[in-house]
Order: sequence, then structure tokens, then C-alpha cells
Amino acid sequence: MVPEGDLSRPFPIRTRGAVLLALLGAGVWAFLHLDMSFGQLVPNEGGLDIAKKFFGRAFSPAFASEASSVPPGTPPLLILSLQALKTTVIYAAAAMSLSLLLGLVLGFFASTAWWTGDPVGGRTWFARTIAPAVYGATRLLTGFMRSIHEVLWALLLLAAFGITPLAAVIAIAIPYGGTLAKIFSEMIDEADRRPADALRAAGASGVQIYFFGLVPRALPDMLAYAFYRFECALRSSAVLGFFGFATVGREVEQSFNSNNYGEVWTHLYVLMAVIILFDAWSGQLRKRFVA
Amino acid sequence: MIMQGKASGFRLEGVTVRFGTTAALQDVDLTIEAGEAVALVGPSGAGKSTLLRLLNGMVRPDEGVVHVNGDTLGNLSRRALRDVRAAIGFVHQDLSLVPNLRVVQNVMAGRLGQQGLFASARSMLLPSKTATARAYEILERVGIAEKLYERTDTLSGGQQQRVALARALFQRPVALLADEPVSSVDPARARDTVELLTRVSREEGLTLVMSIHNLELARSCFPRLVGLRGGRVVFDARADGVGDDEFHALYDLDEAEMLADGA
Repeated sequence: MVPEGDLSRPFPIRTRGAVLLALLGAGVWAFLHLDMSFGQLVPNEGGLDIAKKFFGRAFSPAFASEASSVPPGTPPLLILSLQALKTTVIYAAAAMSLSLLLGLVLGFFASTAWWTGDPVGGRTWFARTIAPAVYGATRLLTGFMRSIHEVLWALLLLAAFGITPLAAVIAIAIPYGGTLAKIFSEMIDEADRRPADALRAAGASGVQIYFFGLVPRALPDMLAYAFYRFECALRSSAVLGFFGFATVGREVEQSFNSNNYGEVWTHLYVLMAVIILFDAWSGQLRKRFVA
Repeated sequence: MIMQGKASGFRLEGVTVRFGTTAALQDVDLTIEAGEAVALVGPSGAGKSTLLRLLNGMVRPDEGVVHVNGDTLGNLSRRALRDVRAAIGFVHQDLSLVPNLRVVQNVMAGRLGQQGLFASARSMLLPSKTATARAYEILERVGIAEKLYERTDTLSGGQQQRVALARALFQRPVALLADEPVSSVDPARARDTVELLTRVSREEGLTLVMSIHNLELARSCFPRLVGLRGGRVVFDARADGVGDDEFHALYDLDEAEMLADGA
């Protein structure tokens, strides 16, 4: 028996094809607009020379300072590198602690789950006025925090406070806090509602449902995402060294500017090692919580 | 506020519930006395779940009134509605537990409706000895005491059903509502679970209303059966008075319905 009515798909193949073509077209246009050609990838004589020297040292990083004259009292290269690494990790950890706090608090206000969802009684006065206003304001605030990159925040904060550790930590914590708030609130709002519904049926309030029905359900994902952001924080913290903070970035910049490419690789490998180690450790932790 | 230890009666008067344009329940009158055990039977889509959710204030009637132990649900403030919900245990059809919490935490969650935010945080994270002892005692009654500190999702479906019952009992309810509690367990377990629910309700003096697909099981475990079809009550009878005629009234498809289902 043939069912009656409209048999056409709601989103037909032809429309999908058109959307796909438009996306491809946008990509091609971007390349053309930027006036790119593969010829630009062929460096000039001097550039090629530097590139050869630089990449030539990839497999022979320096184990001692390559500078012709080292000021007296300077620690050996490896110690210097490890000190910078330690600072990098500490900055990242401080920034991440601050952004986790921001993310959890702002994430609550950026979530709708705790003030919507009761099937009975319509919306209370609070849920019609204050809650949506706070929600909207929080979404705006976190959007603003995220839309400025940590490097730009660092630039602004440096102008205000100078090269203090707090400036670097806050510069990372602002956009990271905004991102965590957005992702956390979405993970919580999208968590399975069936347990939440059961708690509501037992008389739980919206806030209780949020903390004891939805957050526990979203926690493994939140944890995994926080670990990933810590990895990002390590990179950000390293990059802020280019502004003069005592992180790996500063060592990289100084060695690079002095053409001591072996030293650059030493610093990069040290950073890479810590990120890989951290990844392995967080993988272990995730297995414990998620499995 | 409903007094504890006093069983809860329910009364529906001319209740109609619509979801969009379809009526889930139409002009239903039903009285369930305190302490009674009633099975709601009927095909899927008959309105059994909606009726149960009316009884604990999780669905609002479009027409008619719902009384729970003398209170009219429509007139209650939000806080008072939460008190009514807190006094009624609900065992759900699908998995309603937080899977990555410990069993003890899921049981403790039954008391959220009777606690403020800080008290509930304490009982979820650092429960007192007396609360833990009570959770253990209830789990013992439903036969899974040894699972107290297991992660809930490591339990089998039938065991999780028991945790859900333990959570409902932890509320110290005056009535138990159960929505197809055995739809996902095998027949032997189904009888065990239904008998457990009826026995516990009888011992505690709780009103019990359970929706159940299996007419045979309903007839052997409940003194009173209410048959629903298409959102209407088609019979309301003592279990020994439910025979073939009632069965056909519930499950025989007329021609129009066959066509509608077969499309």
C-alpha cells in the first residue's frame, strides 16, 4: 500500500549538493582572494639557507649553550630549558585553576537546565524574568571573553600591569574561562534528561536537579575537555614567553634570534615531552573516570 | 503537606490531557483509595503513563481536576507541588538512575525533594551514618544490599530496577507509582519484581498504582484492574471479574485501527 501525502525528502539530495558546492566554492574563493600560489612556498636564497640550517639541527639539538660568550653565572642550557619549562607548567596550572573556577560558575549561569524543564505550572516569575536575563548576560560575557585571543589579552594586560606573572595567568584564564563556561553549560544542558526527570518527580528543585542529576552525568566529558584545555594552556603559556614572560617561548625566541638553532630544538623537544607525558597521564585518569 | 505514614488516595474528575491535537486522556473519572493496589492495563499509547504522571503532578490536566490526598494539584504553589511529589515514589519505565554515580548516591537522591541545597549536597557527597544505614536497610529489603557502593551502571537491568525502587522507598513515600517497571526484564524476573513492589507496598501500607502490559501478571498480582484504551477507561473491575470480554475490549483491533497501524 502506498502511503498518501508528500513523499519528497525534507532536505533533498539536490539541496545537499548545492550546499556542498557552495562550501567548496567558498574555500576556493578564499584561496584566490588571498592571492596564494605555490610559488610563494619556494623561499629566496637566504631564507632557504636559514631553513636548511634550522631543520638540519632537528636531529642534533644542543646539550650545551651555543652562544659564543655566556655571561658569568648563567646556568647550563638544559637547566635553563627545564627552568623555563617549570615556569610554563606553573603558569598553565594557575591559569587553568582560575579558568576552571570561572567555567564552573559562569557555566551554571550560562545553562538553561536549572530554570527550565518543569512540565507543570508554566514558568514562574523568576524563570520568566531574572533567569533569562542572567542567562543572556552570561552568554554575552563569555562570548566577549572568548572572542579575544589570549595573546591579545596579554598585550592589553601587559600595557596595564607590565610583565607580572599575574598578567600572563589572567590573559590565559579569561578566554579559557569563557570557553569552559560555554562547553560545560552545553554538556550539562545536553546530558540525558531521564535521571533529571526522575529527580524532579521526587520533588527535587531545578538547582538540585542540575547538580545531582545533570552534572554527574556530564562530568566525565567535562573532565576530558578540561584535560584537553590544559594541554592548550601549556602551549599558550609557552607562547606568552615571546612577550618576555619566563616561559619556554622566551628561551626559544632568544636562541632563534641568536641563530642558535640547536638550542631552539632543545627547548621545543622539552616542551613536546611534557605535553606527551601529560597526555599519557590524563589518558590514565580518563580511563578511571569514564570507563 | 501530606502527613507521613498516612497513605495517599487519588481522585481524578473529568480529566482530559492533550499533547498538541491528540488527546492522551479523555474525560477520565477515577478514584483510588489510600492503601489500595491498582494495575493500569492496556495497549501502548492508551494513556497509562500520562495517567500516572498526573497523579504525582508531572503532567497538568487540560480539563478536570486531580486530587491527591485531599489536595487539589492545580491550586498548589510550586513548593507545595514539590512536597506532593516528594511524598510519592515513582519507579520509571526506562533507566532513570544516574549511571556513573554509586548505588548509595542514587538512593540518597530520593530525598532531594525534602532537603535544602546544602543538606542535599552533604547527603550526596558525605552522607551521615544514619542515612547510609537506612539506604543499606532499604537495599537489603529489595535484595541488593551488597551493591551499596557499586557504580550503578555496573549493575544488571533488574538490579537497577531495584535501585530505582530503593530510591523511591528512601523518600518515605505515602504512595508508589510504577510505570511499566517490568517492560525490559524477562518474564521470570518480571513476576519477581511485581511481587516485590506489591509486597513492599502492602507491608508499608502504601497506595500502589502500576501500569503493566502483561494482563496475566496484572490479574494474578493486583486486586483491582483499570483498563485503558485510546485515553478512556474501558473497564474498572476486581481482578477476578476481568475475563475474555475485557481482554478483547482492550486488545482487539477494529478495522479502522488495523488500517491506521498498518500504514
